[in-house]
Amino acid sequence: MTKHLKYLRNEAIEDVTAQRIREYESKTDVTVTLPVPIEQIVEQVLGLDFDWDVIEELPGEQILGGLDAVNQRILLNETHTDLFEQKPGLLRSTIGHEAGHYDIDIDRAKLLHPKLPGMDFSPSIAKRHVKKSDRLIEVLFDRAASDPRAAKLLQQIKDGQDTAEQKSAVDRYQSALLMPEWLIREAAANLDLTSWSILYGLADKAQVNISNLTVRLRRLGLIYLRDGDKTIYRSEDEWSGQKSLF
Amino acid sequence: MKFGERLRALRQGKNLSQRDLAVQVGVNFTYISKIENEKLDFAQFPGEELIRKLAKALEADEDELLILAEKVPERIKKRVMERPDAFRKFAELDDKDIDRLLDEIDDK
Repeated sequence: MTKHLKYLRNEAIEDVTAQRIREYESKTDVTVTLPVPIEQIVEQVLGLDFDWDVIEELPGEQILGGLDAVNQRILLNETHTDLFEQKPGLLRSTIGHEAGHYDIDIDRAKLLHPKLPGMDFSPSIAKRHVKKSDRLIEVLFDRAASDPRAAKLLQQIKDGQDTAEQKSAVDRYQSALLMPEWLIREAAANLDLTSWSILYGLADKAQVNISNLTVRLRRLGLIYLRDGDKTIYRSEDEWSGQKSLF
Repeated sequence: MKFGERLRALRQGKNLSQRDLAVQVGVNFTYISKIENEKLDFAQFPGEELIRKLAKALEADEDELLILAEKVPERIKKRVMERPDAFRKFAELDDKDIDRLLDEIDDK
């Protein structure tokens, strides 16, 4: 089955992640609350194991994790253990991201990917961080050879140029899995989401990074943020109304 | 079954993540993954004290885990030293005779 992730609708991703959570609840007789037990869901529902190892990196980049789909493992880069310890939200989003590749991205019937240098398996993907641009970038190793856009992206990374973060399906997957709509709406019901301290509290409750949370809240239509503006609005209409006052 | 496999099965049976278990027994969260994936050399392998902590956290049979880790539980070592003659004889028996003896013990 060929998947066109670019065109995978949000509703479809929400349905898949909600189903995974329900499967976990059914299997363990546990009702999922925040923080979502992503490691248990990944292990017990998707059947993936976690493995820590050193992943070689190219100069100026950072690989947080990869998917060893053949051996059903999420590989996490031991080089960045300290970073993961400082930022548990980053570890959880990395796990969710790789789980997304396994669940909605790769064709599990065709696990043929080129190998990463120095690795004895073929992860389909790795997250890379370009220090110069301070942005996470996804490199589709298995498509770079055949897709000129992926090859161009790789070249840009090697050149250290800024590249806009891809709003990929797997990022929507990790976001929906870590922050299910019904739990976020329930948690946010009596909160003033226009307050940054409240948002940090909610991020802490969900064990996610603040940026991950704000993207999710925007996507759910619970807040409206403008690039470069730290003020949080309840909606675009509210922002328009504020703007018209001045 | 290997020690790492058994540990994973016990942990998942208790619905704990590797990080949850690591916190409970006081080790780095990557260490549990390395035990489960059999990626530790002899020097890095958990000692008896940690295996006991793991058994307690997982409500598992301490002796079973120690033996899977190829460590002889202390009280068994003590009995071997107290009755080396008996254990020497026991070691010479084949499985059939050992099974017969165990059945006799169970029938008592």
